[in-house]
Amino acid sequence: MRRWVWRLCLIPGVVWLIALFVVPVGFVVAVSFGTVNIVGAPVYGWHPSNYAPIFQSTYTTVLLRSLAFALATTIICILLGYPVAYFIVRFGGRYRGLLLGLVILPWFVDYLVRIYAWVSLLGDQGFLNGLLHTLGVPGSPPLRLINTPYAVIGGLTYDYLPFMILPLFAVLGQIGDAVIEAGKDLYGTPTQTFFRVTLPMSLPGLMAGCALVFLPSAGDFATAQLLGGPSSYMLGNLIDGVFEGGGFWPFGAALTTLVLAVLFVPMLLYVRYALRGGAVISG
Amino acid sequence: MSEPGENVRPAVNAVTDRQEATVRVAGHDRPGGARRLLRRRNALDRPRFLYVVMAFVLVFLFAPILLVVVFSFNATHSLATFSGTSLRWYKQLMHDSALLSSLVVSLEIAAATTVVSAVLGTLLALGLVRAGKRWTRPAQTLAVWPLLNPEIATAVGLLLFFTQFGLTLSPTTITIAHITWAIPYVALILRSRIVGLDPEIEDAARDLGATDLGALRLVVLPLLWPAIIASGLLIFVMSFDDFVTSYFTTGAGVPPLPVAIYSMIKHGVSPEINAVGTVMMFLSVGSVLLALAVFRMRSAGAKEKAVVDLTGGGVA
Amino acid sequence: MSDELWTRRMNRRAFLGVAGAATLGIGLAACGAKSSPISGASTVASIKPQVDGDLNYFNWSEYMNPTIIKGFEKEYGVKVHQTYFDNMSGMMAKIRSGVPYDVTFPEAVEAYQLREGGYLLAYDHSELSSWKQVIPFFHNPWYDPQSLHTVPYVLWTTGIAWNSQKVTNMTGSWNDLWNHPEAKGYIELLNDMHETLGMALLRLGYDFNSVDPGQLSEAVSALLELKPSLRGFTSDDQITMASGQVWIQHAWSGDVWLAVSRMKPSEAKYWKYETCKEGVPVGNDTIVILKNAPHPGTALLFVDWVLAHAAENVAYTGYSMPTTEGIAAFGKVVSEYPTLNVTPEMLTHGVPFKYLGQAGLQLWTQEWTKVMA
Repeated sequence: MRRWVWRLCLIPGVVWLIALFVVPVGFVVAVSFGTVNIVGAPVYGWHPSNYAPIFQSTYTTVLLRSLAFALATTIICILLGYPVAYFIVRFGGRYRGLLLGLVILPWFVDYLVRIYAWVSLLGDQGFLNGLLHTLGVPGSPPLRLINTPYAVIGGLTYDYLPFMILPLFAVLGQIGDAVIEAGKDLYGTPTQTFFRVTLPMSLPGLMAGCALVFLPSAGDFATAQLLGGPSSYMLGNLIDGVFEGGGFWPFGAALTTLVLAVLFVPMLLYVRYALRGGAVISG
Repeated sequence: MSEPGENVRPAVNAVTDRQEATVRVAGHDRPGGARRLLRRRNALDRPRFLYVVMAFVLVFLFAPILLVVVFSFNATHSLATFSGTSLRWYKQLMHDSALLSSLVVSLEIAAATTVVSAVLGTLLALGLVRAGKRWTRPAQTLAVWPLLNPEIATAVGLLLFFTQFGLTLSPTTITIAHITWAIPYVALILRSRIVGLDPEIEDAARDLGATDLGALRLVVLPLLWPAIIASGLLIFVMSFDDFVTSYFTTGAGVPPLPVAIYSMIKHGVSPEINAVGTVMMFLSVGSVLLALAVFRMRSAGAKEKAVVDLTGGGVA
Repeated sequence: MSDELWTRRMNRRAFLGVAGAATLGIGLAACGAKSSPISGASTVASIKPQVDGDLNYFNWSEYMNPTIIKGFEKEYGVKVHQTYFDNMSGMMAKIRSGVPYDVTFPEAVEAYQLREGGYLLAYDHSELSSWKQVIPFFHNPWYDPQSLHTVPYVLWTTGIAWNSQKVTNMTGSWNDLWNHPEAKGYIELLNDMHETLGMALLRLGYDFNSVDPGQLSEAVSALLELKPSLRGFTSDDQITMASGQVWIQHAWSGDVWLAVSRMKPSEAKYWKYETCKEGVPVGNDTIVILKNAPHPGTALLFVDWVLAHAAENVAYTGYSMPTTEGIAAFGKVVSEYPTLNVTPEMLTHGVPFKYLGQAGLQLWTQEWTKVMA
């Protein structure tokens, strides 16, 4: 029957993904329990002691810091992104597409260039400090903006804001004006309508947006490296340090497995809520 | 439990039905009703603060980028004061063979990734929708997982994978890595589109005597074509842009542009980066606008083309 | 299906998926693991220095004067195919995978590892006409007994460089990094695990290559104390010095030379370099011929050529070379900055980098990551 044609279609993609995605993830876990030989090649075995130092306070600090940065970024993205999505859907009118396009456009600028834009804006010899200097503010530099946690959170927000706006736009678009009008008839004030009608109906999109912002920013390292500095390092920076700095690779693999484990629960929640409910990745 | 995509269409239909019902109730189809509704809207529903947030976000998003573009034409080294226009940074870029080779490598990788992932992703999407529940459930999880996995974990995994099998890290390995994360994107975008296909056209094709593969070629693919191109262009831009995966799978050869820029920024800010950034911006944004233009043209013509093909070109 | 059932199913499936993936990964890895050549006493190969094909050269980029390479190509009518690496682990990974290079340039510690792993060719050094120019220290180095497999390449010391216009009162001790609060935010350490953690150990009076957990812990605490005063960690010390971003830099001697030679003379005259009394790390690179080199004859000729032209290399790289000519030439190059010189006496009193061992490497990585965290 016809079905076998479609089943055949599945095979190339599935084989590729298993061989080049699932297996490498397996490698990470496998190497994390191994050690190395004299020339640094991973040797497989059972050494759970590789994980022992991770539970020491220095690492838990970095872990919590990474999660905190990601959480802060997510919250700011909600606070900025929800009003924007709502505005475009409800009041954009015939400019809806244009406004959405404008908001998404910066995302098509390369990630590194976006971080660089922030470096040149906030840097010691950057634009803002130059402005302050011309205005007569003393100090060299007038304000230490870069190499702070705030710069990192700001950079992460800048990187991932479109990921919050897109799913919200999709889900709010489905709700439609008339439903909101009906809600107003029911509840009277716009605020009540919002909290009792709009917000609950937009929850799938909101969850999708949260996952799409939280998950990548927790594992980010370039932003922290270039905008942060040693006191703001995230887990990604530590992993980078081990692999690029000729360290003990199994330990780097253990840190990576830690990232996987910690983000596993949010990933599952995302799959449960967002994919079952509403539209997610618009397309 | 129903599959995610399958829910969307009926849900949308349900909402639109509800909208229509509400509209009729609220009186839009009566002459005075519309005006009354409009007046109510103006009075209560345009909170000032939404405009403010919108404006703030637009400024927030565009100011840094505009800064990069503007200062790429700056005559001096400074990032703080603009002292006259000049093309010197672009000239320097033209002579920077390292950056130019990186640009070429990035384009090559992006092109290869786009083609391969478009093919594999579309096939996967077709299978996901039509292969029957028992097969599609596990495949669905597999297809979604790479999108959610932290990119650094995927990248480290691929690094370990390649070094284990003695594969030299090179643009080829980077391409393989990119295709791996690209396939799910293509698959999911195409999936929504396939779900939304009108089954009647395919049935009509088969009634007219087309084989399964014939129906696929003459009917389904032309209808999917705009979505394939759109996702292809999306993948192109994402691959061109990609950093984390490329960073861990680049060998000692020519790195892709984002990795090269990362090293440059680590070494210290240089106005040449403004020039590179601006060039990349126009390439990426240009590709997207091109995609939209093509999408508009193709989308309009695709359905007509399908009908014409089916009926042998005879019927108007 | 109910939500809880679905979640449990997803959880179970996901867990099985990862476990399955891990098992699959281990299985494949075990299959794919290449067995390395058997280590142990190498038999000295009887290779003659003669042209037997082009040379496959694998080195850092910009780490050898191009005139030396071009000269070699012209003299012997061969091509030198150059490939570069940008860190030691990348180099090791490539060598492990068996890519057929002829010569490569590992640091002393990596040379030790490669030799122990059986990857290096042992050859009769009397075949090299310039071998007698190499200073006696390297005729029996710790990493290569009897020096059967290696010749030394560049030499350096690690110390502290500073801008004397901004900072004074340096005492020739590693404590200088800790004792200058006026330079807060303008101090950088090297982003190199062995250099920086080792330096902290030296300052406390411990062994540079110690694998004692207690001592490492102390060293880490000292570094964490210093961290708030740092601008950061860098491997690009050349650039940080030349750009004025730092006033005090934990630096490699060769990079200090390269930095001052690129500064304007009005700036360069203020920069100074000191080595420290608690211990001066002295490092060297080596040139090795790989056991599976396809063109060992050409490789031997090349090694000989490089040693013979050591004097040409010193000004280009900024580092000393351990032949009598090389040392003399380097002395002249750094005559205005005599502290940058690396003399044979410094070699005997200096502190070498040693291989930490697998367990030691693991411990150091974990401790170093704490400093980074």
